Amino acid sequence: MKMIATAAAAVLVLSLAACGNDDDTDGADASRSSASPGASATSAPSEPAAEGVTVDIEIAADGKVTPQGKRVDVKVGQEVTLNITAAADEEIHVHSDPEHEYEVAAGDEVSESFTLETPGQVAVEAHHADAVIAQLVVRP
Amino acid sequence: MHVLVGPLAGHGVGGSTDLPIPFLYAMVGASWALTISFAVLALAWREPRLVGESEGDVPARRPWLAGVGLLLTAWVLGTLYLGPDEPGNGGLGAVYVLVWVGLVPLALLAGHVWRDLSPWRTLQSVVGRLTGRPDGFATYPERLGYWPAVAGLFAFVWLELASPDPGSIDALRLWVALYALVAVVAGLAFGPRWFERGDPFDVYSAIVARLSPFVRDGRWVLHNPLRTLPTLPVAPGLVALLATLLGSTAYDSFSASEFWQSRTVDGAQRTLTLLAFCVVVALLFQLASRATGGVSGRERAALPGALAHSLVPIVVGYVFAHYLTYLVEKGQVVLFALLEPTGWPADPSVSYVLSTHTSTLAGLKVAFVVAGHVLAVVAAHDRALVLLPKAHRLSGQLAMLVLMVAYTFTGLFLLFSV
Repeated sequence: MKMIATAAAAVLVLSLAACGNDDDTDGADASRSSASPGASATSAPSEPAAEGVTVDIEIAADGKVTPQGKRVDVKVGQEVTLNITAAADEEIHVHSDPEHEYEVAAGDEVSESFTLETPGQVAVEAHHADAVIAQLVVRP
Repeated sequence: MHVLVGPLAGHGVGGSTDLPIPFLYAMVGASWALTISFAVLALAWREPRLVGESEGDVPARRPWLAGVGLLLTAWVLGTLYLGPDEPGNGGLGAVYVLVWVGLVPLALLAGHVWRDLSPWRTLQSVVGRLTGRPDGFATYPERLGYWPAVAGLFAFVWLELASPDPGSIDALRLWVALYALVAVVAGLAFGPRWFERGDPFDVYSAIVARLSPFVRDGRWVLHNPLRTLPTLPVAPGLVALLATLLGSTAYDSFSASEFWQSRTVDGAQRTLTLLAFCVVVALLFQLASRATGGVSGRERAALPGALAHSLVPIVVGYVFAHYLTYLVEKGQVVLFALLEPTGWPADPSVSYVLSTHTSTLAGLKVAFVVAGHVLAVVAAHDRALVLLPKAHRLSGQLAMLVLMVAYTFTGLFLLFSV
């Protein structure tokens, strides 16, 4: 009996925790669907989506990329800009749905922007170097 | 919309991955795992209650399922070899997502239907009937136990997680061709025994099926899965097999950590690290299961095998926690890619039903890990009551209990930090 009561309590606590936070998620979902990325600044006061997030990427002449494995916090719908300075040819893939692929040649200095619409972690990879440049941690 | 899955360094199929679970969730899960573990040890029954039910005869393979299996195999292999030479090839996704991950829920829900679906078993049974040698042409060397399946599983997880180019279609085509060759040759030579001991996917499915609450001995019977789990056949390599499954899943999680991604590692380092994860899981289990007093050397050596079934729920819980989104969401992408030649659906769109509900997903992940842990602890406790002498019944379980808590904490830590 004791066991059953304990197990029931466990389920209760876990589900309560889940419900409590679900409200946050749904709230964020609602604000996202009703507002365009530009207009959603009002719904996320702590981190205005309109400002966007930038990631500076450097590709050295020997093909080495910096940063590597960096965590970047992003909100759903927030604009992400990759500032790429390349001293070697490289192919940069953003593993989101839909995917983004940017081919850069030695000497290029380019900026590429996109937004992410699904929560999760999106890897930005350098394919020639076979390295993860950054992991975009996309939260609702 | 054309959905494309690109390769992802360190993973067979690309695309986004889960957010880390919130700290609170990991803490609640860890607390419950710890509390329930010691509650089981201190308060649960003192006489074994989960006596294995089974090994009645298993019904013959169902021909209609064998037919379905042949069709599905033809479709997947046809797409893999004849489809586009790119990572978006539906056959590649089908192997990594639908076969590798889908196998687990399939076995939990419908038992070991892999046995009926397996095209290699179908071929063997047809040849066996025609030649009058239904059990093959040679006797399977029983001392090999599950080791051929361990080798096959490790080769697969290596290809997916640690090979030089995990998203490579050519590598997968080669791997599948070699696997099929081994399955056909060894299957014909050793008969059905090969599939029960040597075929990686068949063995994986058979093991998970012991945990199915719906199917027992190939028949639909609602039952307590803790009564079928102990009937898992013990043979050499069983602990290594389960450790490969658990260790590789943990490595998959670990390899996406900032710690690992920020380092430049070559193929050999990846391979050795993957191997180390599996070996550490296995060695710790070997040590913890032997750590009791009052048994002879021979009895002690038999303990890891006799307790190995209790690892199955931990493996299944962690696989669900780690791969659920992958199966549900990438699974849709793969299905659309497989269906592409039929032109249906005209406008495929993936539903990110789990990813968009971040808190529910985190709760589910913790629940899977904790549920697997609780089943494992109960299974190990009950078996320990059978195996251990009376004076050591509680103390003899302690090391195993601590190890299971450690496995679960590590799993939760990886879910929280990566």
